[in-house]
Amino acid sequence: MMARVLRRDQAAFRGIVDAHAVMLHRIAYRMLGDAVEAEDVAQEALTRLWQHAGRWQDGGTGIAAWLTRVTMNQCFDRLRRRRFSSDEAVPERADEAPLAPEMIEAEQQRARVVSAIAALPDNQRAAVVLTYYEDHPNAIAAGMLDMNVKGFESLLFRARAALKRALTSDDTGEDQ
Amino acid sequence: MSREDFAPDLRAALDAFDAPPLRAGFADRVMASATAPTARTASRDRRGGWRLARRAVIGTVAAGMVSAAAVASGLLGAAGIRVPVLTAMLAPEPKPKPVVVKPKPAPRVVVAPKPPVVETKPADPGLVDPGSIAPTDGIRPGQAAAMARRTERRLERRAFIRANPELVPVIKQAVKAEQEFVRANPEIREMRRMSLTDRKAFLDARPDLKAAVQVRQAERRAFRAANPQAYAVMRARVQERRAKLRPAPVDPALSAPAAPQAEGIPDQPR
Repeated sequence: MMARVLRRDQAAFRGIVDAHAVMLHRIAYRMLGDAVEAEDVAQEALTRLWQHAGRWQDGGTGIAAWLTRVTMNQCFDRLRRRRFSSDEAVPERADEAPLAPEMIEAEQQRARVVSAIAALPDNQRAAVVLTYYEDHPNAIAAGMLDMNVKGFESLLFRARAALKRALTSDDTGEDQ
Repeated sequence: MSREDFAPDLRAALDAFDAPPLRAGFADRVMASATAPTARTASRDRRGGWRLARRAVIGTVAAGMVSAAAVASGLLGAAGIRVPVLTAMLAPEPKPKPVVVKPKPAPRVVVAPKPPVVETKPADPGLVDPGSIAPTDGIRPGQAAAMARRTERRLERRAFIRANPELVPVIKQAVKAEQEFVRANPEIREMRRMSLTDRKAFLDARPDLKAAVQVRQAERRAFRAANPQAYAVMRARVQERRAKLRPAPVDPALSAPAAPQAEGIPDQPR
């Protein structure tokens, strides 16, 4: 497939975009918490694949892993820049649809999870996104983050503990 | 699997975080962006140009700092390398010492000693300040004053000789006669320090000295009659000298001019 992309086969590249765009957008959204910015990141990663096709080496981790790694790096860059530029949280888009009580409760639950994941350090959040939401094995996820497996597992353990602590305390606070 | 490592309740919570779907036309936008390389390339070239310029500036500054440090520590000086501006700023060389070449000693030429030059023409007293004859080191103050006095007298004599050349032989003869008289009668010096009344008693006690003084007085009168101009000059000179040497008058008897001294002659130049 990459050989065709190297020959500037737009149909082949279109196939790669269709196959991986949703996944890249999903990862970027869960990392950044902003759908528009996540689209920009996914588009940037795919465009890089097209532009850097000449440097592609066969026998690597594969297109999906490469794109995931590029997307993660871009997310880290944007999070770093966002930290330097502004302390404001990204505003959630207001949903103007009439809400039933069940939907309100589901939305509250989602907001708690979003805030708990957003409160994690960037690398812990990336570990949760790759292993839980994208269902990558620890070894693959560790390679995507350029880490060894032991270090990644330790990172993931701390992330799970932090999430459990955050969500449990939220529940306790709500009860009180 | 990694997903099973999460507790069930945690999984139930995390599942609530769903991602929104991609907007329609995303793939087209990606294709348009990727297949429009000109603008993209231009942008990257522009950024690459900035990167290149930044690297060049950083490299130049780093090289300058390393060179400055090396010059300041004398490392390049030890290796004999000169950095044009930095060496002059940070490690200026000391000024070269002037080379002094001692002149070779001239070959000795034996010259016969010249005969001593006798100055015949007296110095102009108006050009010589007596006060300029200052006492030198190692000379007592009184001695210096006597030297100054003698010098002043010598200058006055020379001025007189130059102004009255015709009277010089006559005066020299008179002075010589007076000196011979004093040398022949040394008591005269003692007598001249006495008052007039004491002098008379002194001479009465020595008839031979009294006779010599009378002879000498007769000679002086003859000299005065024969050379009135020379006598007038000598008398004025004596009175002038006495006025200089005389302290403030204490005893009127001592201040009065003595008879023999009144006809005396100036001291002989030494």
